[in-house]
Amino acid sequence: MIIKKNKDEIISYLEDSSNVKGGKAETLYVPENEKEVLEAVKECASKRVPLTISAGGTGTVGGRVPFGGRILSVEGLNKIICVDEKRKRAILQSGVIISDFLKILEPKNLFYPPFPTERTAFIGGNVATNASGEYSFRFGCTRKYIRRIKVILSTGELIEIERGKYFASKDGYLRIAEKKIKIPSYISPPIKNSAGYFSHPEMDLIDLFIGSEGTLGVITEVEVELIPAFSSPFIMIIFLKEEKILNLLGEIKESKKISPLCLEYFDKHSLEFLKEDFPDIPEGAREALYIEEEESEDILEEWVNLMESYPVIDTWISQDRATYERLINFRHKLAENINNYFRKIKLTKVALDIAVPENSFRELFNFYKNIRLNNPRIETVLFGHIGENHLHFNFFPRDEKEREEVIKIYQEAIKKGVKLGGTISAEHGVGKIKHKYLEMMYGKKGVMEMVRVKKEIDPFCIFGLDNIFSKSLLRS
Amino acid sequence: MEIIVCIKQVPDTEELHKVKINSETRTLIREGIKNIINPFDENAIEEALRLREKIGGRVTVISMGPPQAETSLRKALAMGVDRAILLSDKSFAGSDTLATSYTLAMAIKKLGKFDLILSGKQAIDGDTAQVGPGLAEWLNLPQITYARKIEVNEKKIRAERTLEDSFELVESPLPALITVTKEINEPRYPSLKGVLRARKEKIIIWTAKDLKINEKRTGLEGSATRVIKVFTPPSPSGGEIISGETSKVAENLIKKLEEHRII
Repeated sequence: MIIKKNKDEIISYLEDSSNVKGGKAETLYVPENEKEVLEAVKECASKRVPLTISAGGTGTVGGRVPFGGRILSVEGLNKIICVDEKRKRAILQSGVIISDFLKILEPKNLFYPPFPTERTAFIGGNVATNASGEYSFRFGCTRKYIRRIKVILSTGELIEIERGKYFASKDGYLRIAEKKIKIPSYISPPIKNSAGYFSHPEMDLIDLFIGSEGTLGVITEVEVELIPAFSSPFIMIIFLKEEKILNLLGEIKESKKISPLCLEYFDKHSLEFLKEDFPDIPEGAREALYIEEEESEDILEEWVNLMESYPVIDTWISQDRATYERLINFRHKLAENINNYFRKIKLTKVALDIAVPENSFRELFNFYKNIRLNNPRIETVLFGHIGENHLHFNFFPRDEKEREEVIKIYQEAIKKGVKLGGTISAEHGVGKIKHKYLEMMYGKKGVMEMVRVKKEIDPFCIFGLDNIFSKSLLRS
Repeated sequence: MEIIVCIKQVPDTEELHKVKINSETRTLIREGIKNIINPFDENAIEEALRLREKIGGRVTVISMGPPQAETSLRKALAMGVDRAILLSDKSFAGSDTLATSYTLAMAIKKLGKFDLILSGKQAIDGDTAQVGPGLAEWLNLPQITYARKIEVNEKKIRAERTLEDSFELVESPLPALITVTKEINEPRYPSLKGVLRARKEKIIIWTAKDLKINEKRTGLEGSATRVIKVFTPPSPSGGEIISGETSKVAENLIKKLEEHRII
C-alpha cells in the first residue's frame, strides 16, 4: 500500500470543489485492494485516529476535506470488475472514475443513468453522496441504480449488502453483523434529497449507506444497474419574453408524448451571466428553458404544440455534434461563470439548494420572487433543475453588511422549504457546511438520532468526522 | 435578391482519424463516418440568411455529393434557407475541384437568374480553396475570396478581403461569387420550427441527366488531378519515459535536453 506523509503529496487531498478551508492531515493511505483498506482502517480504529475517505474531489460541501487525522483515498481501487451485458449490471471498485466507466459502456450500448455532470467523480463518491446528474429528471438519482455494495466498517468487518435482502423490522430495527440498530424516526422526503441519513419505515439497509457521506464505512465495491443506451439526444433552448415558465412546465409534465431527459431553468440574471459566451441570446428574453431529448418528428411536433400559446421569442436546437457541444455549454458555463464571479468579488458563495414536493413548487418559486422584489439591491441568480422542483438560488452580497442580510434571507428560505415538506439539500449533501440547516430540517432530535446510528455502526468514531453533523455531538 | 450558397458535407473533425483511403481510386472512403456541413460553408449560409433578412429575396443551397449529403442540406433548411438542391449521381464520384466546380456551374445555369453566390473559403477535408474560384471561372463571374465582411447595395457588393496582415476593400458589380472566412459571422442555431420544416421539406435531387452535362467533364474522368500516391506518414517511434522521484526526473530531463542541445 502506498502511504504518503510528505506535505506536498497530501496537499491536493485537503480540498474539494467547495471553498472549505482548513483541511489538514498527517497521513494519506492509497490502498489497492480490500485487504489494504482493512489494514488502514484497523490501524486508525485501534489508535482512534479520524479517517476521512477521499474520492474524486468534485463535492461542493467539503465532504472529503479532513480536519486532522488521516486520509484514505480510494483511487487505487479502480478496477471495473465486470460488465454483464445480458443482465445490464456492472461491478466496480469504488475508485473507478465515471468517465472511464462511461467509455467502457459506450461500445456495449449501455448507459449509467445517474450520469453526474462532473465526470471525474468516482463511483464510490456517487454512492456516498447519492449524486444526481444531468438526466436525473428522467432517471432519478444514484440510489435507484445501486444493487449491492461492499463496505468496510471500523470494527474491522467487511459486509456485503444486496438490495432487497435486509430490511428494517416493523418496530424499526436494522441488523448489521451482530448489531441491532434503531433507524431514525423521521421519514426522508420522497423527493430528490441528499440531506442526512435516509430513513423510512421498513427501509432497505443499503439505503442507509447510500448518501451517508463517508461517515459509516469505506465503500470498496459497488454493483450498479444499467439501462440500454439511447440515441444521442438533441438540445433545445426556449427563450420566453414573459415569465410564464410555471405554466409551460405544467403542460410539459402533463404531456404524454414527450419525455425530456432534463428540464433546466434560467432566469434573466442567469442569461446575463451567459451573454459573454452566447452573445446572440435574444434581447428581451426574460427566462429560458433548456431541455434534452431524443429526436423524432412526433416529439418535435409536440413541442411546437406546447409552445403555441406561450410568448416564445426564439428556440435554439442542436443538429449535430458540433452544435450539441456548443449548446451544452449553456448549461455548464453558467455555474462556472457564477463561481468565477464569486471569486472576483472575493466572497464565499451563498447558495440555496432546496427542493420541494411537486405541489409546493409554485409557492417556493413565488417566495423566491418575493425575496427579489423586497430586496431589489441584492444581486441574485435563479437557475437549475426546475423539472425536479429544485432550483439553485444564489446571492452575491457586495459587503459584510449585505452578507448579513443575505444570511437572514437564506435562513428564512430554508424554513420555508422545510415547511413545504422539502429538503435543505437536494443534491449537494450536508458535508461540513450545512449542519445548522440539517437541524432546521429534522430538528435536534432527528440529528441526534443520526448521531446514534453513526455511533452504533462506527463505535470508534473515526469515519468522516464533521460530515453531516459536528463531531462535538459524538462526545455526548 | 437571389442568393445561391454552395456547401460541402465533410467528415466531422472528431472523426477525421477514422477516414480511410481507397487505394484504387485514391479518394477518401466516407462511408460510416459522421458528417457535418463544412464549417466555413455554415458561415456562408448564415451570411446569406442575414442578407435575406435585410433586403429580402430567396436563399438556395446546393451541394454535390452522395445521397447522405441530404442530412447537411436538411440542416441548412433548419437554419432557414428557402430550398435545397442535391446534385447526386454515380458519374459525379471522384470529382476533383475542376470537375466539381463544372458540375456546380451547370446546376446554377439550370437555376437561371441569380445575384450572388456564396461559399466557404475552403473545405476542411481537402483544404484546396479551389471550388469557389473555379465556379466563378465556369460562370464567368467576378470573384472575391476570403471575405470577412460584405455589404450589398443596389447592384454592387463591397467586401473586406482578408490578407495575412491587413485587409483589402474590394468592390464588384453583381452578380458575383464570394467565399467567406470564419470571422464574417457566428452561424445561428436552427429553430424548432425550422427543424420540423426541414424534416418535412422535399430535397430537390438533380442527376447528370437533369443537368445535361458533358459526362466527360465530371467525376474521375473529368478530373484534371491525378493522385499518384496517398499514404499515412509513419508515426514517429522511439521516445523515452523518464520516471522516478520528481526532482530526479527534472534533473535527468534537463541533462538530456542539454545533451541534445535543445537548451
